[in-house]
Amino acid sequence: MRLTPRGWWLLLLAILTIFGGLVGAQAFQWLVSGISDSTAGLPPFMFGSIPALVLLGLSVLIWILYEWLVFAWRTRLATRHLRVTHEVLDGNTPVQRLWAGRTYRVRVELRLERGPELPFAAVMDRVPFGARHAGGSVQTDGRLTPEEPLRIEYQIHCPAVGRVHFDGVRVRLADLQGFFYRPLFVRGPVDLRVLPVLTNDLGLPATEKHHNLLPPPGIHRLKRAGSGSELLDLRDYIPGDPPRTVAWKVSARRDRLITKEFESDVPIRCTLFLDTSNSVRLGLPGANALARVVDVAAAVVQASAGVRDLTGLCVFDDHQVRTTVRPARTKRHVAELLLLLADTGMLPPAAPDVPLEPLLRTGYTFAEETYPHLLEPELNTVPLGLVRGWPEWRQLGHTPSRGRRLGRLIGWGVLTILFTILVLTYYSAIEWMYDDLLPENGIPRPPDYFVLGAFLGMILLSYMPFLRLFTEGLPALFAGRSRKLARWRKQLAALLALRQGLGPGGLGRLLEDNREFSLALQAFLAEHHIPYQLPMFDEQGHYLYGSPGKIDVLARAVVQAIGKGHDNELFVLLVDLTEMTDHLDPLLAAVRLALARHHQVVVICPWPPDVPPPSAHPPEPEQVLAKLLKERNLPQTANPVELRPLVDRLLIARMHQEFHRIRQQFARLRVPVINARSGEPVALVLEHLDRLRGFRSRR
Amino acid sequence: MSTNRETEPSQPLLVRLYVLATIGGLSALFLTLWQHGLAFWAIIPVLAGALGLALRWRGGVAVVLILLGFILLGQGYRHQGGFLAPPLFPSRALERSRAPFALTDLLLAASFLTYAAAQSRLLALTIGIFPTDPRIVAAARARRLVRMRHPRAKPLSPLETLPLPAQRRTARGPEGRELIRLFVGLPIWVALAIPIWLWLRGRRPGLPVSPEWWRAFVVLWGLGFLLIAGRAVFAYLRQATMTVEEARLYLQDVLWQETRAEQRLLNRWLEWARRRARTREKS
Repeated sequence: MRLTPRGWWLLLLAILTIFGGLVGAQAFQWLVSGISDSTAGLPPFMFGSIPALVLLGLSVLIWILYEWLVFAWRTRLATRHLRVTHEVLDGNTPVQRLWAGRTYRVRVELRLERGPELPFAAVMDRVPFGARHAGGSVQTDGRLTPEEPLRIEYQIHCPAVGRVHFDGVRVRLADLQGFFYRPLFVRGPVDLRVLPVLTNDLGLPATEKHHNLLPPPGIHRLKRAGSGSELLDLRDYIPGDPPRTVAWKVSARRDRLITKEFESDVPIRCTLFLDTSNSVRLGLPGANALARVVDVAAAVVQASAGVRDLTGLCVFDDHQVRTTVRPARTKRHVAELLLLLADTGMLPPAAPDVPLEPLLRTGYTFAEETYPHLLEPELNTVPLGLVRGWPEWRQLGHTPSRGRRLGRLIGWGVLTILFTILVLTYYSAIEWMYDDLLPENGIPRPPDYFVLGAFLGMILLSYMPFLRLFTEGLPALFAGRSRKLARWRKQLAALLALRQGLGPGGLGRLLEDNREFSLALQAFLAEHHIPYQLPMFDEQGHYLYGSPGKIDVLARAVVQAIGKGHDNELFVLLVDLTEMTDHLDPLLAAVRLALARHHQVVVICPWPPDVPPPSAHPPEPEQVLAKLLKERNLPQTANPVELRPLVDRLLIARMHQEFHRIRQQFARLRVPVINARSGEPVALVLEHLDRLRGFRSRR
Repeated sequence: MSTNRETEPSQPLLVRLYVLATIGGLSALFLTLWQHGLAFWAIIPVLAGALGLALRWRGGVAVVLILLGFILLGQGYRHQGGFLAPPLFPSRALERSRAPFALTDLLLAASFLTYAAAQSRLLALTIGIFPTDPRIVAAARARRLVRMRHPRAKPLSPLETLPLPAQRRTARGPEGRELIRLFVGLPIWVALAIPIWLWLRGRRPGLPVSPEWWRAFVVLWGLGFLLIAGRAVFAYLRQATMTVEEARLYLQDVLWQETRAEQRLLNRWLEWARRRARTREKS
């Protein structure tokens, strides 16, 4: 419970009024002319209290105390019985799963199950980051009683596949005068999946001829006898062959029994390899490269299921294969894949070596809103000396604040003065000892080096305690920003250690280990579906998320799929290969193996939404830089603000060039590479599936 | 606000009622001060209050109380024989100050309480019931800069794009109970002040100071005792009603406080070793 400025002022003035009424006149007289002179010869009541003022002050004080007691009692009893419910409605029907691209109504109800009524409660719901606010107010206020709950109703639109997560509602309680208030968060987590949009016509058989029915040169069918409907060959009858396979006309012509052999009727299989490494997760969930490839994968899954083809999915990241689902075509299997894709679509990025301050700011702001009870200073203390000796901030790229620099400057100034005083004092003492003390007592003069050593030793011993005080303590006193960051970090570290069950030493470790703290904080934000932005390049311009390890993971997964696969499968690699062109050999070897087994491979590169798709022959970044510099006539030492668009253009040119190289490498194997933003990836995959089908059934 | 009670027709009635109550409180204050013998000085706090009402000024109540204190202090100082009292302050009969209090003193307290309560509730309805949140101000400023395409505009963080919480109380229909409670409560607070004042007045000094100063010390000690006792009681209640999560956090914090120097030493060595391993791995 907190006192508002309005409450503070009235309380302070009420107390001052009481004191003014009791001793105001006397104090004023005492200040003006001295109490002893002024009271001489006057009756005692002349300097008595002023009842009107005392009664006025006492009345106000009693009123405030009453309001405080009632508010504290009500909030303490009632807050334990507050419950919140979230209901998402499609029309008038509550739903548990949402579909991308549709709008839903959200109904929130805050109920007080029992306890005293709350005279004023302001309730606010946070629109989940996986959805977009599409109308209606997200807040309300009023009196809250067990009989009369507070309700909010608004609309959300789900733009992308993923999850929609409601944590609870933010509630602020206050008395009617606005003297006291208490912020709290009523938790009632609800997590709903947003499934990919259902495709209508993608799965239908093509009505137009999009491709040549003959297989392209260099690709041959794998003929194998089976129980299909297409004729493969004719051979002599072997006893035991079913009579229905006998080719009667041919047998009559040749005068011996001939049997028909049919092709193996192996269904078309398509395996999707979905890259969920950090490089595709960058950006806001639902609006990043991963969201687009998830859309593509979902469309392919549904289209394949529509024509009874089998589809499998392999989800991998930088280090391992996260999930593998074998190809199948049942409805349950399709639903399983869609759920898996919905979960995958909202995966957040995680990078340990990133600047901590922006993350800390986002994390603390969110925690302050959602976990105010766990940040209370009574439970989550912040010792005064916490900021002292906090060198890690500098290693994280945190520049010392102006206050801290000023404090350090003052500290060194004081230290210099102190040092001079110490030197002069000790020098005077030695001089007195040499000139007066020793001759008077007849003591022989000690050697000079002994005196010099003692002199320096005394100075050092006296000086050292002050050194830390003035170089660390004083700067910390002036560094409001550092103190604030240190407080945030300590309180958040305690919260994270508690929520993530890090044990007794977890808090201490999170305070000292920046990587651990960064990862724990990112996991915390991801748990609550709070987006956070991470830098893509380090200070030297190196791409931070290029992970050669994922190429090996993918190559192993492809080889494994080939080993378990059947004839003529399609492998769709939805993988980000940017900045990987030097590490592609294992993947190229795996693709060669797949092609040798008569499978087909398609590569679809996830593409950031804010980067334009590349042209067929993108220019080199150096050419782009030269052209831009010439166009804008920029000097070499230009303003960073002016350089920003230039750097952006260069990065885009670099991406285009990288994509071009990837295409070149795969073109040698005749494997098409397209980016997920352009080139209609779903159509390409379906065309390949249709072509595979055509190898068997169409002549 | 989109709620089930939003479109009630009598929305501004509550505001009008509190405006009336504020005006009533100010009028009563003026009459009481006049009766108190303050003549035209009575108009000053009332004018300040009226200005605060018209401008919906947050500091109106505080200024009225300060002015009241100043005027009553000046009046008391003059009629108690202060030599430097402004001659403009009228003086009452000296005999009146022998009584513990006058009826006008009670009326004065009641009228001020009426004014203060009504004005505060009116401000809660029209200006804001919650204190200004610096984060809201910062978010609003950041959005304004982005909207104006100001050179100092920074990209908004996702949390800054959320709707800002309302600061005002929504005026709904006339809440009869809250008005009744207010007007019933006011005389009670004034009545409760009387025995406390009488008790205070009967205190004899236990130290060589004047009775007035002794009363002031008693009030000071009383407030201090209330503060300490209240804090202790609420701290106990807080601990007694902790959730499991809060209790675990509290224990974790106690452990960390007791061992933080040792933990820091160990973890810094470990961190140093990890950094060195990473550097070696890179090189």
